[in-house]
Amino acid sequence: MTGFRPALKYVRVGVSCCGDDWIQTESSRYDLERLGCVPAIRPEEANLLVIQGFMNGMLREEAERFYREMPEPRFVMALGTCACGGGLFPAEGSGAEIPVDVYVTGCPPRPEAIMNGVISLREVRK
Amino acid sequence: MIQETLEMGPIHPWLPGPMKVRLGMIGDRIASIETGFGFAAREIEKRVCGRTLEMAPFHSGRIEPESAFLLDRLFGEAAERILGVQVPARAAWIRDICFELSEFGAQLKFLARMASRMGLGVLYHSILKQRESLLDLVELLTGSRYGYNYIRAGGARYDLTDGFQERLDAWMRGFLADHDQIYELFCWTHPFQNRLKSMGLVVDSGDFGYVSEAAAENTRFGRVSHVESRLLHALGSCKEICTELRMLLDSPVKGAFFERVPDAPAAGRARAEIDTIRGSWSFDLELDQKQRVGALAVTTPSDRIRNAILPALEGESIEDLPLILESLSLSIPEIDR
Repeated sequence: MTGFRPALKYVRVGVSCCGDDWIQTESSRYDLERLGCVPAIRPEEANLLVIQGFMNGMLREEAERFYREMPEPRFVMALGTCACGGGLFPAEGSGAEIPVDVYVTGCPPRPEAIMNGVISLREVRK
Repeated sequence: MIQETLEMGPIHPWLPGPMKVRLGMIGDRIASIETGFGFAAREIEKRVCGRTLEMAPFHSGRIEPESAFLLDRLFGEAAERILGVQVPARAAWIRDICFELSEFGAQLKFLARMASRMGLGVLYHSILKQRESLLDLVELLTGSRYGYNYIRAGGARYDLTDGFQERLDAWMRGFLADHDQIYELFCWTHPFQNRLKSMGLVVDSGDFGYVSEAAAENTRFGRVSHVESRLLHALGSCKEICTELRMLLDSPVKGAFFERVPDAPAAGRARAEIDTIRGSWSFDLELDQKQRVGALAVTTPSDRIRNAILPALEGESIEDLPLILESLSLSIPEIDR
């Protein structure tokens, strides 16, 4: 044991294309939980906001609300090409006025890429 | 009895994806429901205009990533009708395999999500593990986990990868060995035996259009365990798909996998349609003289499934909302934008 590190509790906002691979990353083969990354029910309990897919107006408002409600320290991951740079929807982009800590690209990103993003977040948290 | 209005969404753990739901409640029972969606299909219909035959499926496949094979195939078939291209026998065979794989993946995802909703954590992980192996096979075939842009007008983008058939065969044998265990883990649980009975609406319209045909005819709705029968149907379908894949693998077709599309100008309109378990998909495609997309109109199953939400939920307890919404197989990617 090298010391206790509080879990990354995430909430996800966005559409389901990349969310599909996030679900697969939760599964037993990749086991996201072993990296200390577990789901939270409400944004008040979370310290990681995962933005998946592009943000339209309605979702952007919701993402910003989630971010405001999350306690400090809080982190943001942009998941998938659409969230990172617009992808197929260049007019939209990630859009939300939220500082992103980690970008995970790919359409959809592979589970390995998602796990790499979570590991990178551990560096950001130091 | 207390009457109140409950707002949910666009993001909520109980919802299958981003959607707005306004529930009118009497006590803990749902008395009325209003839903709000966007339409991914409408957005993408506009984005494909002006694209070439190679690039357009790259966009249209994003309407529903789970069904990307199917959407590529629809686009390809519509374009082939306009251009008068005859698809080689091997290409048709490869397309059939892709179609079955796509359906298999969708069923496994449905089962995994239902297991999650029912609180069956072990089963959730067990099914996702099976699906992960299936996605590996799809990646082996197409280079991408969701099969984007693999099926093209004229055939397939490339031939079957070496060793694909053997690996698919081995995976199916492994799945069938586990199938009975999955079935029992579902059916011998408290939530299945006690909670799913008499939940939701009944649908008895055969194999195709399982949910959406009933959605079109409200009179056929009853209250005899739709959720339970939908679950059993999905479990049974996995076995049927294995049988169909086995038949396809046992009768391989030799020859070319691609027929070159002629360069000559050929403008026109055509419609392609495919029936799936959730309902009908159709593409109305228009090509201009330069073989670019002039217009595309997409009909998705979820357009019709939306009609089933109210009759399925009316009078139900609020705690059953996530299970019933999940059982309707609303495909949120296709409708939430």
